[in-house]
Amino acid sequence: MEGRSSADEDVLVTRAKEGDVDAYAVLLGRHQVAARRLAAALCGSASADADEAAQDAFVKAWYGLAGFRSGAPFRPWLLRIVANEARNRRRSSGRRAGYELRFATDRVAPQAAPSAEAAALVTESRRELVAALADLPAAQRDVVVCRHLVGLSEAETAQVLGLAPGTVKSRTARGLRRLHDLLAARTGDGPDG
Amino acid sequence: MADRHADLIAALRAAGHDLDLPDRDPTAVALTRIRTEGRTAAPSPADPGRAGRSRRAGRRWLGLAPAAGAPPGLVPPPARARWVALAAAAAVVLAVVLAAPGARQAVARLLGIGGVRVTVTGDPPGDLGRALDLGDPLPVDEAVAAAGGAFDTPFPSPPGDPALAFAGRPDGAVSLVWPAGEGLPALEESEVGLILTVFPTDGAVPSGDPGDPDDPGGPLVEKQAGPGTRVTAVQVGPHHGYWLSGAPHEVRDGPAGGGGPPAAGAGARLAGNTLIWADGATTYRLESGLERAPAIALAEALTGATG
Repeated sequence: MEGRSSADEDVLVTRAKEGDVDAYAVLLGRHQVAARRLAAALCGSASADADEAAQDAFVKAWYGLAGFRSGAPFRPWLLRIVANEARNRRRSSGRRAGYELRFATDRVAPQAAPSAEAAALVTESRRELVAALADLPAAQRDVVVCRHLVGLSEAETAQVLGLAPGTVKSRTARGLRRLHDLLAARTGDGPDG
Repeated sequence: MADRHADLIAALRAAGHDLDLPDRDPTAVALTRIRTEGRTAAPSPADPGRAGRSRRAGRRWLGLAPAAGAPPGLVPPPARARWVALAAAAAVVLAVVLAAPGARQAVARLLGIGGVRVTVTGDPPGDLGRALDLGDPLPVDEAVAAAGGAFDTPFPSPPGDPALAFAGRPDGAVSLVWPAGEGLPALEESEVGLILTVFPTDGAVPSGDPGDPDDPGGPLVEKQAGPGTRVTAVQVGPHHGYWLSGAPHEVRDGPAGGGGPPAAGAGARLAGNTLIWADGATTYRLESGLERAPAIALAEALTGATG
């Protein structure tokens, strides 16, 4: 899926380009979770702002299908539009907006929270993680969250953020190092121990 | 690096998995919006649609949109036909050249940048042919969105927002067109001040030979520069590029999906001063009447190539 589109996806894209909304719905269904996570991670908010960014991006992508290169992978193309929309919203909200993420506590993996105390520790740890992400330079944070919060590959991250693969690699390395240091400074000990 | 920060990466991954995504489903809302806009077809390039409405004033400068208050029964000609008519009028500057076999054979040296092949020939380009063709027109908003983060929006002023947008030439490309105005001289006698095209590549230069097993494929733009055209290596922000100036040079787009050389006489035209550069998997082409320094400054401002 990463380097090339699947034959099945090519057919759906062709149908969508011809005006088949149902085919486009199937495409969106396959990638909407990644798109919503990406919007939230780049907006710095899992609230309505991020979902509106995803929603507007889905509509714009529909109208932009004419510019989509047939045979190219659809996911990074779609996510690039989502990223653009999310970053535009973040930019327009300016300095007033902080970087915040919320988590569904009912979806914390049981093995990570075997007790109420452990769950509280996970919650606290997440709070520190988001605070450290907020302190990262935006350019590094965008790459780190694309790679490791959303789970995109290096190549996908490069395409989604419009960067060279080498830039993604170096920014990820610098971002993780900085994030580690920020967490260590906050807690006296980073998650790496 | 991955090993050193394995726990941190695992923490990020788990956090991503547990992100709280509101119950409101943006996909369903988006699909409803698409369906309720009155058409089930992907946007006709000639129909600017919802987002295109705000651009109609901008389109009027080229006569592509009806003026406000036009009689409801007065249906304007298709935008594409008007564009072709306009482009024909501007042929002094942006005319097409049919391939001159002699020019193609007299290759002196080859320069390349992702998806663009620059051939410096010993002969000038050939005869005039047909008009500028940047693909199918589409609303500017959608074009900017389709190009992802290739453009640094909001656009600085000048030149402000583009007035027109096109997609599809070369395959996967998006082109934005600005009118001539403050700080943006007209291309000869036309009203066009600037054309900025962006298209995806893998950063390699296609050979254009369908029989070449090492050909990376992808969109191919071939530029044939005659002896009157100067080709200078430049930097656009941190990116490597070329500045083509002097005599107009020939631009021809390769076939959709790459895998072959541009067809003789197809999609070729003359271009003025042109800056081409690549940022990773994205290649840019900026055509204007500007000199090198202001063209590079404008390129950096429009694409955020300053890092």
